[in-house]
Amino acid sequence: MSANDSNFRVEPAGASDDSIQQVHARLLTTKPEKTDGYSKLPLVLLGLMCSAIFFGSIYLAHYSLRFDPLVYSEHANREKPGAVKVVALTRAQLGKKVFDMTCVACHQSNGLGVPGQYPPLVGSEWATGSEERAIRIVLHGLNGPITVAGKEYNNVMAPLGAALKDEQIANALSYVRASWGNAAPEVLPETVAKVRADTASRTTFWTAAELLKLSN
Amino acid sequence: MKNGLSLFFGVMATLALSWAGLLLTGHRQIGGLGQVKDPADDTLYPQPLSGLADQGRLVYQDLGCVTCHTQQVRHEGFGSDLARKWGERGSYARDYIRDQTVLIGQNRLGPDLRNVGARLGDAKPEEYADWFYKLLYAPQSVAKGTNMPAHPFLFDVHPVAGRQASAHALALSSKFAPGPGLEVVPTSRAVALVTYLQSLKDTYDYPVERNRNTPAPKQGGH
Repeated sequence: MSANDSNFRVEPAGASDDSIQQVHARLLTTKPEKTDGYSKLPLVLLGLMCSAIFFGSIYLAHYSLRFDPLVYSEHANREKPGAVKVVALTRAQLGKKVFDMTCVACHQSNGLGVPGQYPPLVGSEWATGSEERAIRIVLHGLNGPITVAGKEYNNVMAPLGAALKDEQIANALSYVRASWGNAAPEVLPETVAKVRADTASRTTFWTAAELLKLSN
Repeated sequence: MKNGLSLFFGVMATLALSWAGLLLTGHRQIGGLGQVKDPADDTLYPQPLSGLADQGRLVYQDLGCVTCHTQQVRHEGFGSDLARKWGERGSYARDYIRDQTVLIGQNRLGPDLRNVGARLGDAKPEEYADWFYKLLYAPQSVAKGTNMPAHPFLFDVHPVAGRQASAHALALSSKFAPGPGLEVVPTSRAVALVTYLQSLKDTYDYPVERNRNTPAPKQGGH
C-alpha cells in the first residue's frame, strides 16, 4: 500500500488491550506447559514398531537364505549346502572324449558309420555283443569282409592297441555300448588288460571269420 | 549455516553408503562369475555368441526390441513364465555374462525372449528361422492377433521378373504377400537378427546354481 494512497486511514482497534490480555491468560492456563527434552512414545506406536521388527526378522530368517548371491529361489533349501559334489562320471561319459578323438572319423558321431563303407555301431551285434571280442577288434584292428546288422562291409579298421591305454579303450567301448539306443554293460579296464595280455603275441589284424570262430 | 560441515559429511556418507551397498556389494558378489566347464561334454557354459549372432544383437538393440520384450525367465513362484514354457528354469546371473549389454528389458508387451531359440519344438532350425522371418515381415501371418509391429524394412521386396527366384524368398500366403511377381528376401540385418534370436537359449543348468536352488524337502512346520 503506497503512502500517497488517498483511501488510507487508521481503523480503530476491534478489542481493547485488557480483553486481549484476558483471553490470552485463559488460553495459557488451559494449555499444558511444554517440558524440556523428549516426550514419551505412545505405547501403540511402540507396539507397532516392535511387531514390524519381529515380522521382519522372521521373514529374513526364512527367506534371506544366507544372502547367498547365487540363490534365486526363495523356496530353496535353507540348510547350507555342502560344496558341490564332484560329479562322478560314468565310463560311458568319459569315453565320449576318446570316441570323438579316435573312432568318430569312420563311425561318425551318430554311430551310424558310412553306408557301404564303415559299419554302424548302433544296433551292431559286434559292438553290443561280447565285450572281449569288441576289445580284440579295437586292440588289433579288423580286416576283410564282415556282416554288421545284416549288411556286408569290406574295409580295414586300424589297430588302436598301441595308441590307446586300457582305460581309454574301456571308456570308449562303454560309450559305444551305452549310446544311441545301445544298452550293453560297460567295459572295465581290467578286462581290456586281460585281453591285451592274452593277445600280446598277435601282430596281425583280426578277420571276422577268425573272431566268430573264437565264438565269444 | 551453523552445521554446514556436518550436514555435508552426513549427506556424503549417506550417498557413499548406498552407492557401496548397491554397486560394490553386488559387484563383489556376482561380478566375478565365470564360465563353467561341464565335465561330461567338456564345454564352457554359457557359450559365447557367434559372430553373426553378435551382429544380430546390435540389430536387436538398434530396433529397440527391448522396449517390448524382456530377456529374463522368472523363477518358480514369480509369475507364470515356467508354466508358459518360456524356459525350463529361471534365469541365473551367470547366463548373462556373455552379454556385453544385458538386454533384460522392463516391459512385457510381447513374450520373453531369453529362451526363444530353444522353443522350436520339433521344427528344424531352418524351419524355425523361416517362422521368425515371417513374424518379422508380417506378424499376423504366423501369430494371429499379435500386436507386434511389422518390420518390412528388414526385407528386400523386388520383382522376380528377369532374374532367378531367390532360394531365401519367404513363402507367404497370398493375403500377406506383397503382390504377384514380387518376392520377399531377408536382408543381412534380418539374417543376423534371426541368428541372434535362435542363439538365445539357456538350456544348460549349472550344477552350482541348481544345487543351491533346489527346493527344501516338504515337511511340517513352516
